[in-house]
Amino acid sequence: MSLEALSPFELEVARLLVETLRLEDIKPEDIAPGEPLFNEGLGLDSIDALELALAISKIYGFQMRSDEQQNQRVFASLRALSAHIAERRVH
Amino acid sequence: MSRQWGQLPERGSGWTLRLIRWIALHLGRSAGRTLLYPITLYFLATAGEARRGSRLFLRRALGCEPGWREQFRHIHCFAATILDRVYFLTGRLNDFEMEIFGGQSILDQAASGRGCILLGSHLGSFEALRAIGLHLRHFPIRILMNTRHNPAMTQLLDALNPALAQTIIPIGGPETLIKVQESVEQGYLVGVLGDRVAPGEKAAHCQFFSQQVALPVAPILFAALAGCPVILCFGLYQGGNRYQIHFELLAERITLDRRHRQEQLGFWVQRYADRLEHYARDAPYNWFNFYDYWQEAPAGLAEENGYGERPPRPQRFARQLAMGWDGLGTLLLSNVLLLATLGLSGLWLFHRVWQIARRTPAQVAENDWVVVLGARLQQDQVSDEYACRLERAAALYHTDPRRRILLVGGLTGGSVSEAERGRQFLVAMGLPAAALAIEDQSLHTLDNLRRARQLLGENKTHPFVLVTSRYHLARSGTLAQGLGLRPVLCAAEDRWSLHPLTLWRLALEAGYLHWYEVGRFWARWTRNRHSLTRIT
Repeated sequence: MSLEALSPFELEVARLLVETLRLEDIKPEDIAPGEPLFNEGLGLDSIDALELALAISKIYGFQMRSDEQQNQRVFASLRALSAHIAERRVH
Repeated sequence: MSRQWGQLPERGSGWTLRLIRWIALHLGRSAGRTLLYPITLYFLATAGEARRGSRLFLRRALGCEPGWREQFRHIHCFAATILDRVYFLTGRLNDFEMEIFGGQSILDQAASGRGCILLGSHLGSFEALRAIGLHLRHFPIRILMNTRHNPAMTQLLDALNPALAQTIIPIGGPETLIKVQESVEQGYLVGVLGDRVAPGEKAAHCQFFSQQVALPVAPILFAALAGCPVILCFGLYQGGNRYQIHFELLAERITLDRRHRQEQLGFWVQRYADRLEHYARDAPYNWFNFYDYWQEAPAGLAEENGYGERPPRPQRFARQLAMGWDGLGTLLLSNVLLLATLGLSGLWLFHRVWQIARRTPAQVAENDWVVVLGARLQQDQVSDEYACRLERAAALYHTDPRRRILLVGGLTGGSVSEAERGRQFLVAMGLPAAALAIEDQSLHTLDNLRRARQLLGENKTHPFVLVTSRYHLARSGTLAQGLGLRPVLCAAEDRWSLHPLTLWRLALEAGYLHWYEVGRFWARWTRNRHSLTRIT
């Protein structure tokens, strides 16, 4: 169990993450919201990011672009990613 | 792009690459190709790891043990394609004969306006493919490339064609493949190399030359996610100015179902490996993965789902290349000077080497230290050549027992150092151990002398006797003087005798000396401190 509790929306995004990337041995509620998603932490890579971006566009109705300056920040943690989706989502 | 020049880590190599570019563009391809021979020899001599990788691959591809000729041809082929990159990048394709196979698949793809993945490899020249696509057909092409592994090379490419540098998608950061996906959506043909797994990258097992390797699944997975076709491509160098370009549709559409995803990925990666093997058998000297490709028996790989990670594999050849840039650059410069003086500069040094070999006496008056340069052992035993040097040292000792003998030479292939075997040889000849000192860490003449200088300590400005074979005297003497020592040369052989092998050796020594003199001049002139501390 992580020390910090997930907000309901963070939990929703965590479920999407686990589901989309088939992280079978990880429970959504166990993901620490502040931990890095890529390289260290969850150890996701660039193909995971693409898969995630495609799933996000399908569900929340907006495209994640590669040229966005804040990309490093957006993919930094579950918390940052959730905040980005909440801000940009169309549905 | 040019503003990055000074910011990149391998500064010393910048001028070498500029020199290569200058030679290639101003002296022309024939002159450039003449220089490939010394360059190939240089790498054959210095890049041991690459040579091993070459041997391991050729053994499988040729079905027999490769000799020096095959290895030379292998590295030469690599060097030739590197040189041709300069022409490809600057769009000078007129002098090349490009034979295209399966071109219809790519023409159709480009005509459709839809993007795709161009899946290539380190077999042959990917640059040739890009050149054709960009300059002959004006296809919209982008290349996914790891620009951090060899910044010096990236620098050169940027400098050659800044516009082309814009078409590179650098690998790094989570957004890399999102960028690729956008490019494919915009109708770009995106080139990817699929035969090397980066540390931590997802991979699948497959059979390659009847042995297991792990190959990255990302290109296939990407095509499945993006819903785009995958076209295989190989640009095989055929010698001279000929290239064969092969295009082959791997899959119009890759679909993965959730439950059988890993098997399906494995299936497509194996298809890729099969085609790679096919072309690698067809053109074995185009294999440019100069390391043990099969090395890590992937014990840590999650076998049950064919999907896992590989331990990091350092880009050894790239590192060796980077370390050797200064040496390579001065070698090139040395060869340019030879060409420019129609060989006269070399002839002059050959004359000097010859004269010193012929005229140096076999006796000396100095009675202090006698330094004997080691020679390669044969099956751990003192060779005839080395024995001759040692006997000279013994004779010097017998004429004046106040003399002390320093043997230098490290482990060069055998299980015992040259210096240690030399010491045993002299003790067996009846010399007292107290008169002998050894230095057994150094591996080549320059190293020998540098270490000898340390051991001579404060005496280094005193003259000392330097004993070596006649053909070797000129270079050893020059190197020693360059190090600030005062050698008095003494020939190992009683008299100078000439046979064809000696001529060849003298020529090689003259070549070394030419390289050394040019390197020293260049280092002084450009105040290259790294090189200067090596040779002075």
